[in-house]
Amino acid sequence: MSNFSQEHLNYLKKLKRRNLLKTLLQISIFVVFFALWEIFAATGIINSFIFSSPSRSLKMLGTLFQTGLIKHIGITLFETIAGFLLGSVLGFIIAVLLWWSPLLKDVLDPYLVILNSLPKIALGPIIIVWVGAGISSIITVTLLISIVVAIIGVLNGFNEVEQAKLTLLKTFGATKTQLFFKVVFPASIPTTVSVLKLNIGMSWVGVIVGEFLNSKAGLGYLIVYGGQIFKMDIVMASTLILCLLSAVMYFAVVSFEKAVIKKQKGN
Amino acid sequence: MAAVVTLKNISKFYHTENGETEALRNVDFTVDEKEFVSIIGPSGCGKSTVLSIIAGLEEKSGGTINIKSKGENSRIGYMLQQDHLFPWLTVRQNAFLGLDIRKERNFESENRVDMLLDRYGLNEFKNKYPCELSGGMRQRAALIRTLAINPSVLLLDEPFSALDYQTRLSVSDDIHSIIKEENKTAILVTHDISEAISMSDRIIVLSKRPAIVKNIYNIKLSGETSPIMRRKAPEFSSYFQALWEELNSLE
Repeated sequence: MSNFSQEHLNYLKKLKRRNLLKTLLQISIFVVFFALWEIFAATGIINSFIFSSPSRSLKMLGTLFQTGLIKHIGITLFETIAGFLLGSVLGFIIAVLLWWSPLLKDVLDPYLVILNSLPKIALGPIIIVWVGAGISSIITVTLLISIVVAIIGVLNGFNEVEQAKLTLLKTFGATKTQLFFKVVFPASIPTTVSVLKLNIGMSWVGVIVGEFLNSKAGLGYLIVYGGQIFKMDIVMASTLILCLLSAVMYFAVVSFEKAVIKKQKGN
Repeated sequence: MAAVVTLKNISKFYHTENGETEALRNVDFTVDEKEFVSIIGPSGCGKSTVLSIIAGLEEKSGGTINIKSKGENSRIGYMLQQDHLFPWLTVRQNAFLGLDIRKERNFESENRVDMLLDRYGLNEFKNKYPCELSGGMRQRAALIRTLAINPSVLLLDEPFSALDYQTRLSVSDDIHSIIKEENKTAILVTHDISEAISMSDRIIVLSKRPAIVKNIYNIKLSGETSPIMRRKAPEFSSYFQALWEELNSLE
């Protein structure tokens, strides 16, 4: 450290100061937003019956905790993770099959395009009738949303693997299985992980909308319920919890992604 | 000397929806054991196609190929335009790639690869990842990956074209000396006339598409040693002149 020139030390100091400023500003946006909200509600500038307020939402959180908020969180989390995992795993397997057989890929291509552009939520009523209302239909909707993203994203990753790397393996006489496990899969791990990242967000959409459509529990249920009985405190409190949960899950996937990419690049 | 590779009347057509292209027409040549042969020709004439066909990566449309080697089945080592070392594997794991695919990794073959890594100065890097290696070392690691399967013929498809000129000269020197030291037969495809003269015992000139063997030059340089030294030989410039004119007349 002491070997650095004065200029470099100044540069480091400047960098540190900028990062500090960034963090401070980020925190202040958060604080100012909630402070203004609270003040406006308290002084009657906004109607706290319609807009709720941070303190009312917090109080409601306490009440909800005593009346089974944990159960609602648990159900929503379970639906999200189940839908995400099922969609991603099945999507991955289908992507492998489509990579394996280019003919199959060409045959199914128009169907995939249509499935991808179709808003899967539109299938909600059909799914409710077919698999029954409640958790199973919500997981199915989430699965439908994430599976298409997984198929298309993962398959793109497979097909982007450099042709020359495949040629290299073919010069050693590699079989198709070897091509997949030695190059195609390891080379496309970064794209696969970024598809998973995208899919987490998609799964949240699927679950919350699914819960809007039909459910007896979950955060989406609480939000709709709060809206129907005009208790904005419930809506706001549930939304805040949802923000927190999705952020935690997102950062978990991002740190997983970082670890994977670090390993990919060697060391 | 015995011919290791014999090509007789090789022809090749490429088919697309819009028609067919004749890439090779009656290509004939032989390569002797331990010989270093270069193939040059106008760009797009099908030089690389010849290598792909020898390697069995592409089907030929007609003709016969014979690859002979002592005892065991003929093995071909292929070096591509870039090293294509896998960034997620260490240098040593990369070197084992061909053996892993052929399921020939055992105590003896591992020893052979370790010896090659050791002999060619990669011993202290063998547990590092390719990103930590210089361009020259990467190319050397790629050659060892090719040599690991103990090929009877090495096919080099413009293996230095991705390198800058300075590195290119020293790497071609390096690779040439390793190939000679390991007593390998080699076929190099290049568009660089000087590179071809400096490295080869013989140069095969292909015509433009559909390619036929236009001419074969036997390269004899006095006091020949390494490719860089060979560039200084008095005969070098006359070979260059002759090949230059030959290629120009083909364009």
